[in-house]
Amino acid sequence: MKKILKKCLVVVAMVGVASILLTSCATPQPPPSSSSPTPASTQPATSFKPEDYMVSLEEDWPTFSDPAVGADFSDMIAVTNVYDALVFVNNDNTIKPWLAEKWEMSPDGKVWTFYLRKGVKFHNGETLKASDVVFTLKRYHTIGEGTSWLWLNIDDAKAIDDYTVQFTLKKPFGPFLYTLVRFYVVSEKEVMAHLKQPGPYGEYGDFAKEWLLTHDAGCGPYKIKEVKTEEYVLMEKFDDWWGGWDPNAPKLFKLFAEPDSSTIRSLLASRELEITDEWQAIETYKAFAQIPGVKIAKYLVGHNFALRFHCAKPPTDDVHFRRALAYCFDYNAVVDPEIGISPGSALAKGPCVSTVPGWDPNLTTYTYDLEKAKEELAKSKYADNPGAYPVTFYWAAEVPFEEKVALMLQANAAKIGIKVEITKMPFGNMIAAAQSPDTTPNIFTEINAPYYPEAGAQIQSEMHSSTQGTVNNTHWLGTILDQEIDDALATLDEKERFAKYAKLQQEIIDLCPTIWAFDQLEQRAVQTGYFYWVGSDLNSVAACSGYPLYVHDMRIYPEKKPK
Amino acid sequence: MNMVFFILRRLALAILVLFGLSILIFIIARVIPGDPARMALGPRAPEYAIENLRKQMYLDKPIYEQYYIWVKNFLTKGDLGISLLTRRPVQEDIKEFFPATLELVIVSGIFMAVTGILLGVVSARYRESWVDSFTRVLAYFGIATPSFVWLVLFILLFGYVWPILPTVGRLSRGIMPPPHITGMFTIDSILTGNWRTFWDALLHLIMPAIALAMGGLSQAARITRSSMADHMDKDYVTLLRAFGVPNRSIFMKYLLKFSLIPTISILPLDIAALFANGFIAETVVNYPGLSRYGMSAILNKDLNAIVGVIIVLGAIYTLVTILIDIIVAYLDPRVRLIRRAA
Repeated sequence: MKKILKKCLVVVAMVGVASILLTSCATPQPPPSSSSPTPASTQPATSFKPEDYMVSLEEDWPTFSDPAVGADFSDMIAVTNVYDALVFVNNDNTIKPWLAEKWEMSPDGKVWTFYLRKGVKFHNGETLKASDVVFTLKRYHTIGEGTSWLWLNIDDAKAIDDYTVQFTLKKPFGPFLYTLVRFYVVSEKEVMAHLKQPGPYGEYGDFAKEWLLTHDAGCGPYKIKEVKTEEYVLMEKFDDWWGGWDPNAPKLFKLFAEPDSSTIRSLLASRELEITDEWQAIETYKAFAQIPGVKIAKYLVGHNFALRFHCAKPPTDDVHFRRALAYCFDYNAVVDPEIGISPGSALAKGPCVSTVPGWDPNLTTYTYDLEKAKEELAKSKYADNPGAYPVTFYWAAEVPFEEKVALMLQANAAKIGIKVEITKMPFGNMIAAAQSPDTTPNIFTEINAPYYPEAGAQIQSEMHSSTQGTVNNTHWLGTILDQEIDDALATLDEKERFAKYAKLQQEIIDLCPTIWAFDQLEQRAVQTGYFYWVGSDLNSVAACSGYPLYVHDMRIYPEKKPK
Repeated sequence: MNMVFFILRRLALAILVLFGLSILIFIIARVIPGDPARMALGPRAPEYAIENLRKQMYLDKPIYEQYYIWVKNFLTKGDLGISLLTRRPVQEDIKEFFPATLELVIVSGIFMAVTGILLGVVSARYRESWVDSFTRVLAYFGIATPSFVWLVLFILLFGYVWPILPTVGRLSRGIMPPPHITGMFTIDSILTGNWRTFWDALLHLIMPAIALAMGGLSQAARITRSSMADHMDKDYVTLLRAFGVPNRSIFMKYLLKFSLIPTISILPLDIAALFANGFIAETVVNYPGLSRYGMSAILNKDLNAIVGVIIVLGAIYTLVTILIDIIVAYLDPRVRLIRRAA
């Protein structure tokens, strides 16, 4: 027995030594900084630690907090809190001055002059100058990732003086000001100090992309404290932020991903999580709401849930066939507050969300009407034997309610003889499938979020040929609406532009490239006993991801936190 | 000398296997539908940015040339390329995530081996009694229930109903990680005398480690029991009993050693499998490990990360297989004799 034990010990020791050797190959890293954030000037008279003022938000991973790289929901939450943009979007989707205090537009709409706020400090202590804005544009243009495409229309940028910057556009663009809610300014000095050479951008090396994975060069209310890849981004408040601070504003902000609902539930119960993600099943939110002090915040956020048709692939290449399917969709049942798949969501009217400026409330759209569905099917070239042309339907595995939508449409379509074949697919694979007309299914689900809070954003992203092959536009319709869309976007007068949008929206509805299922009522479980977030009291928030979760405006009261 | 030659031969074969694996996975990763550059840069990235990334990743070159560059960079610089998912060098990601998974697998493996063998021995010792029946039923449950179900059950029980264990990550809020020595928080905190961190890191490992171990330990219990039960009917055991050797001695001194050989042949493979199978557990508890990273890489068509992770996992399997042979030969002299004869 002793011999066996001895041999076992030898084996265990071998495994132990091997494992230590294997892991010791890793480059030693210095221990993470343990420095605490500097106390706010008006800190409440308590003995609470900064961690007690931490807000945890569970969203998604990866999170890229570099504004020239990130574009996804979690990216935008991080970027909006760490970087300040030229203008800010309120929860009612109006624009207000931010880093730019005021602006002027030339009569032809091509030259925009912005007057910057004075005394704004970056996290490295430098003062914001017009040259930083020019540099930021150069960085956006050179890297070309994330939301950079929004400013490809800017031909030139120059600093008139330290606090005046001028953009010259290639052609007039009506919603230009709205796009600037995404123009997050970086510190030139900070970026230039962290270039990695050699890199893909010539003299700019990697344009500090590697450094900005785990650091920041912003002037927003929060600065990056720590990034643990695949785990979380931890941000701490920037005491010198120009907008000032409330004593109960969060001192730390942790953004992380947790896909398992039972784990989220236990985190909510132990008050280690203040706000959950928006992708849980309805039943899961109901379970979260059972936890004392947790409520489900519900608000329209500017996303619409769309079932996009492949308009060049049989049988959805026939407009009557598409309309037949649109009439098969039970819109009211889906948003029913009691039994709906997305209870409380708003009925969608066309390609734009009802909360964004430029949406037309007078549009005529589709309703659930099987008789009309049969009439339309009869007009289609597939009327003789619709069952012989199965409709392929992909839904995103990460969003559970999409399956119910798919099953509902499948059941209703079967009533008029249309066969729908449903496939569950990870969203990454759906992105891949969207890239070619051969791999795009007949119906492709997508939650469309506007990149800037104006109707033109959704019209362009869904229907313009330049977006073809992306998840926003899987129609493969070509250029049929390009001229009209370009004309509307180039219209400077807002009233006139919105009138053109209204006409376009009705034309798009008549073309039926999509079943616009509903304007999504976003839900998140939120702590209410010791934490306040304005979003939990609103019916609709800014239609611009990141902005609704502006942490500076949240409040946390650690003394009220249940033990 | 024969053993040294045997090990060297196995290592040479292992290199060949890994080389073949690298070709296979390199091709498979690249023929999955979809443009990885487009997937990485988002739907609206302009064409010049996409082209730029393709060039950086050599995707503009024929696949054989891509493979040649990959092998050259790997052998000369240890460079596995850039991960599209984390935008960092893959080798850095592996260095960061591998210790976390290794730590989880070690704790899980120890629990699997000790509990599995113990249950098997007890079951055999009390063969056909209620103890045996109970252990066998338990083992059936362990094998039939996937690890994530166990984990979700544990989270609900010990994280929600009776919240005594942490449910997320590697450390709690406010606990600082120990200085990096091995990357395994428990070991690093012991080495630096940081007992609070050690305890917290250990608590974070308990639920995922046990959940992961359940399948393997049940299998180990069943194999140990069955093997021991076989040996109990052998003539030499009857003879020992006839000589009046106490049952306890027969079990611990004679039966256990021989009965453990099949278990020891299987257990390391089960433990090695945890490196790949751990992704669900790692995902559920937001544990930043290699298997979760590998799964994200596959879902996001992160070419370089897929190849890097598969090569690491392949190397682990190959090494474990060699290790098993050595351990079995070490424990059972007959195996060495057979090899010598061969």
